[in-house]
Amino acid sequence: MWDSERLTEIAALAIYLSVLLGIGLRSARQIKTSVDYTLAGRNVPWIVVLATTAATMVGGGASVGSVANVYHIGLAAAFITCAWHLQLIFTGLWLAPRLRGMQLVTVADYFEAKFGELARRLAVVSCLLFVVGALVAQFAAMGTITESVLSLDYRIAVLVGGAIVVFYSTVGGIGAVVKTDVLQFVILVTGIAVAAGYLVQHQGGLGNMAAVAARVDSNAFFTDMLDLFGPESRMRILTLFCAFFLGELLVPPYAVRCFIARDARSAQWGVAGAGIFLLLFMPMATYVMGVAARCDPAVKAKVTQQFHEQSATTNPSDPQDPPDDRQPVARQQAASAAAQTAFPTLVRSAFHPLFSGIMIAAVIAAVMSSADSCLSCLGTIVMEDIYRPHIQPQATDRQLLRVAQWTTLVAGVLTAICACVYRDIVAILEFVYDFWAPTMVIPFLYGLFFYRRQQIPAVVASMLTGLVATIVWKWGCGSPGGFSPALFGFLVALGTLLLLLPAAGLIPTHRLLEPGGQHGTRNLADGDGHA
Amino acid sequence: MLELLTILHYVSQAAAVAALSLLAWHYLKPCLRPSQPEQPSFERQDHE
Repeated sequence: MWDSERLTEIAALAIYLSVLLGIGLRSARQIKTSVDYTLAGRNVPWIVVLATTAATMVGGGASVGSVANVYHIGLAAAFITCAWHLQLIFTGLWLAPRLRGMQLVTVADYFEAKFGELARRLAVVSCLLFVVGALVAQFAAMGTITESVLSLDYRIAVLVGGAIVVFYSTVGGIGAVVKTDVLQFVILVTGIAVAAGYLVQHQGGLGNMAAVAARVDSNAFFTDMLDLFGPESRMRILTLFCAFFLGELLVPPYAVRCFIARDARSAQWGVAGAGIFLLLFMPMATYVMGVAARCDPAVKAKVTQQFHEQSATTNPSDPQDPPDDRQPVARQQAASAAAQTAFPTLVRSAFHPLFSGIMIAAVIAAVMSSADSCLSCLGTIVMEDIYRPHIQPQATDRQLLRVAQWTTLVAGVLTAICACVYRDIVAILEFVYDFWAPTMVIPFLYGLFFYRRQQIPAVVASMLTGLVATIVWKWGCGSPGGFSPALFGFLVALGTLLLLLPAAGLIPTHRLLEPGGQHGTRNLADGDGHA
Repeated sequence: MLELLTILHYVSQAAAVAALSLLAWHYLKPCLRPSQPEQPSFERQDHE
């Protein structure tokens, strides 16, 4: 039986999920064309772009995961997440206006327009890999968080949460995604800001909190909550910072935020504004919550219990056995996994059940807003990059709309089932990030800032070598020295580009390397899509 | 470091208030002008 506190939390969550369903149904009535479905009519103002971009950025990792990491390694965890937000500022200020001006529908359209058909096909594969992997990871995060917070069965949580996301994304398209993102943004920001403000006030200021946290020494690998680098080496922190910056640069969910904006200026200030806001807000808010969690005896007890359970699972040997070389790593992993319970336990321990219900809804909202964006992108990619160019070039707008809707539905159901079977979120996200930066980031930046048509072969060659180098480094060599496959692939791609640039003009041209492509980007601003 | 973090905490709170206020203003603006049609401004108005 559930107690009254648990019922209050579940009631708050049920109300929130009902509102999401209502928004989906309301948005469905406004869908007339594939443009409405995939691009919200390209008429989203900057403040709404800001809210939807920020809501998409903050998923389970940036909320529950960041608080857990601050609990585990301190200020360094908050510092590393700044890379995500700086990446958004960079994208907004310098890339978003150019992308919006090109009237694109998908990321692959950009590669076709700049580098030709071969680059487009590589981009389609990379985008599919990214959105499918990210979607499975977000569904898995939804199940994991609901399981740990509300003690519901993981599979039931994935299927119920997934069904709601799939429903409103399928019937309402990106319009429903944007509207639910705005609601999720309001709940998330209000919940986290009120919680952080209350915790600092209640515990007598940040200085007092840091002092109390330093005295609490549960399974801590450090005690100074004010040390910027904590227990990690500076090289590791800086490497992670670079990986976070490059890993999500121009991924489809953010690129679409540039495409749906009302104009170039709305895209610029919407995306950059989201980055500026998150940079000012999230690292500090998650830091405060992580420090508050370290001060809370209830959190300490729960994390310690989890730590012992994790240790018993990962290292079943007798605790009295002499330590071997693997034990420090196993202890670190067990402590890191145990810290994931810090956020939900803090929320339950520090706040009234009604507010903890709102906070739990906020966390679920964070995960859902990231999942729905990936799902919406998946439908658009299949419709625009696969069905229209390769299966039915003469498709009417009604057919395209149906393809996008059916893809969203079927892909949503399949990925939710995948998340039920495979729930290692970190492994899925690592896999996804490893393949994005080496293939996609260099051509994106080169095409926007240094583009020369005669150098297309060098750019496409760098995409291919980056992809092959990542595969070889990851699976062939087993990532020696712990060096990230994404960073290795990125450096190989960059080296290939710099090496081939001077000779690119000598390579004979081929129709697969002709920019503009055979399919051509639909000029939706001229009303195509209303056929 | 503590002073810096304390200032950043207040900046973080101010950023949240500013973002929510801007968003509220965006949605309340049409309601404050009764002569304007009440439509969320990011929806297409010319479906025909």
